[in-house]
Amino acid sequence: MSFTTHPSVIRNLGDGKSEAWNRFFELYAPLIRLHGKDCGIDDDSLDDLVQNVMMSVFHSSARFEYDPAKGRFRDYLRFIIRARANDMLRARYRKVNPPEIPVVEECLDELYAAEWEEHVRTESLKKLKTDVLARHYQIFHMLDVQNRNVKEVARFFRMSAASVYSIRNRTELKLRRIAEKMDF
Amino acid sequence: MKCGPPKIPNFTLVEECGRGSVGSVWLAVDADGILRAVRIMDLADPANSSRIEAESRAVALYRNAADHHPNLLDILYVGRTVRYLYYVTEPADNAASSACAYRADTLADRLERRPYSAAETREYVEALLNGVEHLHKNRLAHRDLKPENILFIRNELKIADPGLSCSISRISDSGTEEFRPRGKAGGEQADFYAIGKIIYCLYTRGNVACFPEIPAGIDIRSIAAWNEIALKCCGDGTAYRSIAEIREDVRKIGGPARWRDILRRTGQYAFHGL
Repeated sequence: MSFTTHPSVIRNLGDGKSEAWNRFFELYAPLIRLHGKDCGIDDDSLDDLVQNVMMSVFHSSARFEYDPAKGRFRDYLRFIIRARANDMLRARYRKVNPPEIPVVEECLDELYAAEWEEHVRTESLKKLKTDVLARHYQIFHMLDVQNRNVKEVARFFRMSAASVYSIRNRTELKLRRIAEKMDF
Repeated sequence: MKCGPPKIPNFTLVEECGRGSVGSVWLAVDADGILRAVRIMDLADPANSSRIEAESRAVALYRNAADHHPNLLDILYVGRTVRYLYYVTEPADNAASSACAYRADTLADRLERRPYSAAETREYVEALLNGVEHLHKNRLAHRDLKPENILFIRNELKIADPGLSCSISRISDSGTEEFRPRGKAGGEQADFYAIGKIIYCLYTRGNVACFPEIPAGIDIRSIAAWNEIALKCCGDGTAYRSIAEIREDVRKIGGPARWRDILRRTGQYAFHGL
């Protein structure tokens, strides 16, 4: 399966394509789990939360249309995660006494923003790996992620330092473009 | 209801030691008390019937091609009962520390648990190339090369699990995801690609999912040549046209060590003060 960018994944959900659903799950399940934890969902119920969020998106997906003019997808997803997590917590505390935990919405928003940023970074790197030559990815990874010395990297690939810089810059530009597409 | 082990004529099944998508592997004792490994596929499962038939054809092709090659797992016997299709091989060495337990000695196991030297890396790669080259010369591709399918028997590397073997010219996308090229590829190219990934696992001791990342903390000077071979194997499929070409690159890596070996064999080792 080719790697699909986020906006096209969202567009295809409306067509009920199972491939798009699998991709959606693959892309966002880790983020849903992470933010679900912030909202107070325990580890055992995180899978249920993922299912509930998926169902919510799915529910509106028969006529689902992502309209960027109405808002960012990241905010829409945050709203759904928070709402489904609250549903689950309400259902649980109907049975037992709720603990006294002050809900600080702003704090949760900050956490979500950081998690979204990490999600975009991780997924962009994954996509970059499939889009560029393995050698170019290695050069980028060694210089930008591992902070290795450019001379050491140039020696490793038997290239000039200028070529290594040029490949790194091109790869970095590509990564930036991927990240811009994913951050919507 | 709990089921007992499958019933296979002339074998007493001792312990299940592996499970694949269409079958399980059992340690078994034959009528003479010799320990064997038996791979068993359940014909009663309709979901797997076409895959079992395909595997059965693949095993037949592989048996004809393998011909007791030292780096290819010998299939000693293929049998069929009403319920099961099975084939019998020698078991892999026991990698477990206790004699009471059994854990197959595979390359995956060694990558995870056992330290190995640069010389051993070379030996593993050369043995792997020998086995694959023999298959290719017989117009057969393995198509599922990965560390889990590489066993050690009496400490000798053997390529196992030929269930996806097919004609070298067949274009398909079969194989394990991390070890096969994206999209469809010919058998030879698919094997080259898998060899590249196995080499990557060997010199980085890393997880194949991280390819092509070089783990932090590794002294990259010592792995440059291996990395070059892995990148060529996993590239667009044009860098290598035969196993002999890969072997040629591997030979270049070990030059000095080989020279020392020759000197040692010819008794000139002390003379050169090496």
